Amino acid sequence: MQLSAHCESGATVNLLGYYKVKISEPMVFGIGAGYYFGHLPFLKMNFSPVTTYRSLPGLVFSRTCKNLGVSYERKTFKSPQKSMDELDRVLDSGNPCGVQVGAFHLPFFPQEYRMHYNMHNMVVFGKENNEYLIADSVVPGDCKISYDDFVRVRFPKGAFAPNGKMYHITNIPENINFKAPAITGIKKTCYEMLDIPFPLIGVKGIRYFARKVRKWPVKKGNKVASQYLGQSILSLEEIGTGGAGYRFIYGAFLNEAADLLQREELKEIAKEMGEAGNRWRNFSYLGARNCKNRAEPEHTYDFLADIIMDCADMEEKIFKKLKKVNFK
Amino acid sequence: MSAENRPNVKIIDAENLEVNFDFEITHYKMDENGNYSHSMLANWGGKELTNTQSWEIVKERIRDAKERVQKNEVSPIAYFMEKCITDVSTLSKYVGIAKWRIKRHLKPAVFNKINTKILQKYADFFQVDIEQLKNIESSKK
Repeated sequence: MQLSAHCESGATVNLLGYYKVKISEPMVFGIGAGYYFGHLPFLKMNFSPVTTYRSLPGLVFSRTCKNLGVSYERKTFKSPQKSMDELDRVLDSGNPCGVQVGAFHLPFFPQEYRMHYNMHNMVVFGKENNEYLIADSVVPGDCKISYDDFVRVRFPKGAFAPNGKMYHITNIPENINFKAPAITGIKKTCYEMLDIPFPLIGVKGIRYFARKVRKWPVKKGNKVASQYLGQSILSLEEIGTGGAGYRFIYGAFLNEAADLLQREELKEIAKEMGEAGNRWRNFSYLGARNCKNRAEPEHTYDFLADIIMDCADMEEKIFKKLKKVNFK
Repeated sequence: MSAENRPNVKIIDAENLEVNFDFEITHYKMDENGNYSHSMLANWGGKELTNTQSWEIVKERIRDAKERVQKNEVSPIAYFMEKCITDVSTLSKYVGIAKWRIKRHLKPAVFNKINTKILQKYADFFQVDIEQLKNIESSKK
């Protein structure tokens, strides 16, 4: 088992690793086109609007498998009993199985992350006296969870409820080549960041987010603004992003892809990506100061919004460049 | 959920939670030459501030709810709801009671008339006894 930053990429790495496919976490993240941006003010989590820096849960795994030519099976359930029976069946056949769970009831998870967060992924690889053995890519060491607890974490409620979602690999081709999948992944990400005709997503979404940040203190008051800011920083830095909202992971992927595809341009773009990541880190670092005293912000929200606008410009440039790279 | 297996499942005690910030997660970073590496890191520079704030908000809501329960403005369900960091719509999905009914149950007068079967549904999710559910002071032991 390998520790990783992003739970779903980590689960995918561990699942593929079981079948002797050597792949790194950034590679999975890049091939699965996990890079994303979306600000969704109509969805509330922990009483604050949702800002997401990665694609919907489950997409990284399914896209990676599709692009690599690996076949998989994924199921959701209404009945907890049926889902556990199915899980037992898959484990008995000797395959590890990925599950999406809620963090609120997860016993071995560190306390500070145990909010109602339903998008955690982990791999189940065995069963021993009614306890399931779990490889969680975020928590070091092997974990155990009892049957009852497991039912509870697999069927949490609320936003993005997983409904016992489980996935496992059914067939794996002999020779896996990462070259073509990496290109597919890059193209997909470029499309998602630049060309989706919806204003809350991609580079447009970042700008929209910046405009929203500017308005928070006027519309909601300093306290609520600080709460919203805190939540967006949490999802930017804390919730398994590997730092600066996956920007560093993606940079690492571009770097790896440059060696793989023998394109020097990608190395340069990877460096720019890292700079964009540094700028995001800048935002979260300064923004976090505002959370110290909620009533009196240390930095104005206009100033923070300007940083986000910067990030948007940087990322737009990066992806326009990336789109033009000729892979032929 | 039977009574025996309740003790080994613990919902986090959000009201008195003292977060320690030792838990390390993988962080990626880039050096000046554009090379990437990753390492285990407990803090990226603002973890404590943001995390403390988000828990502080939760704790504040719990304190507010507790005061209102003590003044008999709302029923104890409001206090336990905040304690489990839920809102009415999430709670409704967990306990299987319609939102408008939960909102009704939040009134003390209505709460006193709820039958045991429905109280048990709430108690199961909050992981407390019915006695504790009726009297929030006793839940502190």
